[in-house]
Amino acid sequence: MIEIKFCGRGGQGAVIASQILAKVFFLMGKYPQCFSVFGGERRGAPVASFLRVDNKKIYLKCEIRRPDHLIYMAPDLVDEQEIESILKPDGLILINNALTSGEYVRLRKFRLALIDALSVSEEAGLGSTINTAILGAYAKASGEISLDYLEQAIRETVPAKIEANVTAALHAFDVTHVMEGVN
Amino acid sequence: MNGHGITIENIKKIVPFSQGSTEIFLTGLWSSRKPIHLDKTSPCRQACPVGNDISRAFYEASMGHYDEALRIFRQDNPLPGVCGRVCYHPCESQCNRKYYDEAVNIRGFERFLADNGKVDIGRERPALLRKEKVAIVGSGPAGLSAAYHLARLGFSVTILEALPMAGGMLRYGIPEYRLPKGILDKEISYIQELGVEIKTGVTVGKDLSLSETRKDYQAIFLAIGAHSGMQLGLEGEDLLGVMDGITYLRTINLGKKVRLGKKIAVIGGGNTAIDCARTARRLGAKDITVIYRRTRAEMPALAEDVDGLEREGIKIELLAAPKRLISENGKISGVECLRMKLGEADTTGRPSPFPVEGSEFIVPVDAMIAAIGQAPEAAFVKELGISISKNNVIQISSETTATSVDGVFAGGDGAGTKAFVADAIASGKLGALAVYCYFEGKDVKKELKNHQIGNQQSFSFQHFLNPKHYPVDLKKVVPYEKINTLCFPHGVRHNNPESVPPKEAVKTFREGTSGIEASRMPFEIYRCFKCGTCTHCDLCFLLCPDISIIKGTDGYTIKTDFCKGCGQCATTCPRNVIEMVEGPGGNT
Amino acid sequence: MKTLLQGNYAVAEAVRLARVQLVAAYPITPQTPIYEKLSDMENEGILPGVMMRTESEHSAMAACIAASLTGVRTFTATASQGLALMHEMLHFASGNRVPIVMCNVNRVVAVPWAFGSDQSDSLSQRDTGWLQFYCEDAQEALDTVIQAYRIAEQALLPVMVAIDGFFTSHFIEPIEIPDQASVDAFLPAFSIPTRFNEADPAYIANVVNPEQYMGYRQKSFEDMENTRPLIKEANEEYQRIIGRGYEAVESVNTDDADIVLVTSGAMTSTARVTIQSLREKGVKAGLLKMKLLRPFPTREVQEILKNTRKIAVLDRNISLGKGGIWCQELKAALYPLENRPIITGYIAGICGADVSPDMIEDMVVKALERERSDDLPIWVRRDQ
Repeated sequence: MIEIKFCGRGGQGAVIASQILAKVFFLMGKYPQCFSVFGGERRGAPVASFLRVDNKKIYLKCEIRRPDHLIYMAPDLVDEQEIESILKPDGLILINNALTSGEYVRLRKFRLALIDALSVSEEAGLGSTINTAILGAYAKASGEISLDYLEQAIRETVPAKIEANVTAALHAFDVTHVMEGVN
Repeated sequence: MNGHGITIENIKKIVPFSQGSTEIFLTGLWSSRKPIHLDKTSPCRQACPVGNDISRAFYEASMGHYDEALRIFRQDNPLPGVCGRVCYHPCESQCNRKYYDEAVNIRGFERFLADNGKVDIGRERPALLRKEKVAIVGSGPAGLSAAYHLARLGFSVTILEALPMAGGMLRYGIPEYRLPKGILDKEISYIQELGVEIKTGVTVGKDLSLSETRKDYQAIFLAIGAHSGMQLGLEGEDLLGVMDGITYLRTINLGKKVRLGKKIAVIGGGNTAIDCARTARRLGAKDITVIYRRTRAEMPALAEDVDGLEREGIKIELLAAPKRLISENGKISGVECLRMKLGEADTTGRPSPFPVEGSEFIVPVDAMIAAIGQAPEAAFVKELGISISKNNVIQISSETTATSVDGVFAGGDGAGTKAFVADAIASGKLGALAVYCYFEGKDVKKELKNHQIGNQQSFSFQHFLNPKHYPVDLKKVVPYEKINTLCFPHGVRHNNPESVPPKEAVKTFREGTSGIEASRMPFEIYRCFKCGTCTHCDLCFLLCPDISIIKGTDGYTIKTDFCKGCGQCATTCPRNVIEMVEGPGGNT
Repeated sequence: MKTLLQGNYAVAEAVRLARVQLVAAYPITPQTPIYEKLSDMENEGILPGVMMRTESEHSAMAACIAASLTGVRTFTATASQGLALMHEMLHFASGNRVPIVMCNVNRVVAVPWAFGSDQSDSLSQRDTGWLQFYCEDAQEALDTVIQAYRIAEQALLPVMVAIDGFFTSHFIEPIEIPDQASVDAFLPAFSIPTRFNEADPAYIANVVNPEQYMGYRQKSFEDMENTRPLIKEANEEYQRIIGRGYEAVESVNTDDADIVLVTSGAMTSTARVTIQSLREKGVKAGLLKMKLLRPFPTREVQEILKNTRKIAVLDRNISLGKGGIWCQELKAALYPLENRPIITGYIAGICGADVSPDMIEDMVVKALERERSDDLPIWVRRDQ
């Protein structure tokens, strides 16, 4: 079972991103379970969305406290100390950030992926909607999902600008910078 | 699987619900009060001397039944076209709507019905004709009313009229611009269609003696009116250019010419004075002054007619009374007047005027019309031994219209009733009841009480004819507080529009107002609360929480077996048809 | 067909498949997506019935009652304050014996104001004369709503299907949606006689005398008792036609258990994981899932637990002055047993507070150490 946590700000599409990813796993024949933290929903407020995926039915009906994968759509939410304490030892962190070196020193023991999702999205004509770009980057960083299923899930889910979203995902896959963890 | 296999009988065993009856649960027994659904009397009806069932007529009209609405008016009043124009409408003064916004234009409504509704005389004819013959002396409103009601009761009625045409004061006292003769002719013709014979040009006491008449007819109703103008009692009233008002109007209405000159003074504040002044204006007088000894508020004439008079450029000299007539070459040349002041109220409730010493002033005139009152010409009745007062008024019992002589009754102006048309009609109607009771050996007072409307002298003719089929509480008058005004939107009154601008009006005798437009009439009809008259609005039926109000084809009945006495129906009823009474419930 | 759905949408699918003719409802978090989905379905023309958007839950239930009396299959859904507002009409529904099915999405009741899952809203309605089912997940919710119509219409009693707010209503998981033909085969067309009929007017909610009242109440009580075989039969038939089923009381590894954990609703799923891991660690733990609250499955519970020495009851609800409501119900049911077990009551997950497998493990282990029952519950909070 993989447990994934999406961190973003209201309006960035973290919830939709987690739901598209759930759909990808579902298309792959896996059992996804997707949920969000509710409460003060408003643009700009921190939002977390969660996804469990397994090959068999998932029974857990509780929070994800120790995720395997952490995805930060809003880089300012990154708290290295907190990540160290919750992420599983062989975990993955994906951060929407253009920086490629010299940063996130404490996180280098984990597998770390960086993507400038905003540039990719703007280039694809999506403005600041970065969820599909993030999913392309996740496909690269995690190796868990195939691009074919991602493209299918995007086509079945996204309500508008479908081609631009597919382009953003595929382009993000290409430009994501992945660094293996070092002990 | 096909269906659940559950029947209504299965359900009845497990669920408390009833079809058809809940008779074992007589919840009405809990109650200590219950509603009564019974039509009541509207304050306008109580105020109407004739007793017109105004709210019911409005209700019928609200459903578009104008002919039926007119028929309701004609139950009590044979002259709705006349009253719809010249009545002093005490109904409107008492209209509950006046506390809400403005009184309903009831007179305009009556006129509308008379002008637009169809009269079916066949429905008004009596079921049985009687052998008794009744003579009516005079064809004014009192005589016509008595004749109409007596004919409806099956009597053979003959009207004896001295003047060339029927109508009395309606024809000879009211100018054409207020009451077109065609309207009067039409309503008189309906009375004739009912079988009333009208003999004109017959002066009782001259062409035919009263005792002879008494022999030919089993009863007589004297409705001789008051056609003799009263004198001022000043010197010079025999001068050229001095005339009394009622003679002036009669002469004009007989089609004769009267030349009075340019400057005219009219003395008096009643309708006759106003009519004289406006008639003279139409006949060419330029400078007319109405001289009245009190203020405008005390004028007995209708306010709207006084307004019309002013619009037509006629002056009113208030708080003034003639003291002396000034003459030149045997012809009047001026009226010397005295200023008046108002003092204590007199017996009529109006303040008495008294002269201010040394306040004399002169109104120069070519002619003067004194319209200060009329008296009957009743000397001829003494032949039968009927008592008359020193003013020539026939003495009657006001409750029974009976004179001092058996079988002879009298009403209208000639018998001293109030001088308005509606009062004369009411008097004739009471006379008809009295004649009927005379032949039936019944007590008029008792009959009047049985069918009396509210606390007034008027009675319901329909109730008198068929009380069982006319369920209405004539004694209970609906006060404004009992109207559920939440049910009524505010709305502006529709007045009868002027049909001729004042500049034109002074050149013509064409009727000065027109009827309410047919397209606007429904709005005025809607404004009427229909106080006390059930309009089958269904509010009680819909809101009763105990389904105790049963809707039938001809109204609602209350099943008090189940009524718990909550009073929602009575509170909600827009027009006070339902009211709560104390007493045990149950027992429908 | 298998599809990814949140639990609320799964309930809406069940309503569609049951060919409900009238939905009367008012939106409230976390039930709103049911309302929205049914509205969408109506808009798309795939809802067999009509949506009636009432101005309150009280009116929604009144509308369902009236419609049901006219011989129509009805549905409503609500939560929390909405159910509380509906309370008066719940008695009217059961008293009038109308087979309404309602989904209640469990949410805390104010005050304070909050949104998380808590069974206190529906458990407070325990004595309104409705059958009550508590579902573990969205799939069970869908299947139970369909089953509920069959039971309600056979028994002429209303049925409430409760699901956990968010854990069941909003979690998106793969759901198997049965095909219409199978549901039609399971659930006959509504054919309850019409009681409200313009041609033959009727009066409901009559005033009766005490003897009559007691007669109706006793009959209703007996009919509620008689739903037990109907519930069983409906589940068996559903299993036969559609291939899934849920016991009124489900036991997992209870036969040899030293301790049995009793749960209801969504926490049951997490508990299944804990029981599995405890077994792997050598602790002989079992699980008892309570699905049915009314009629209470007393016999089943007694049969399963008659040899169990220790029991822990996990309640996501609280009755002030007593404790967890399932715990009280269970203690009453087990009282007649010769060897009464030692029962520990836990209050956890109130307002949707997180209850993780390790928390449950801790509760089970501690309950196993206890040697006597305590009347007071133990509050389990992560922050303590």
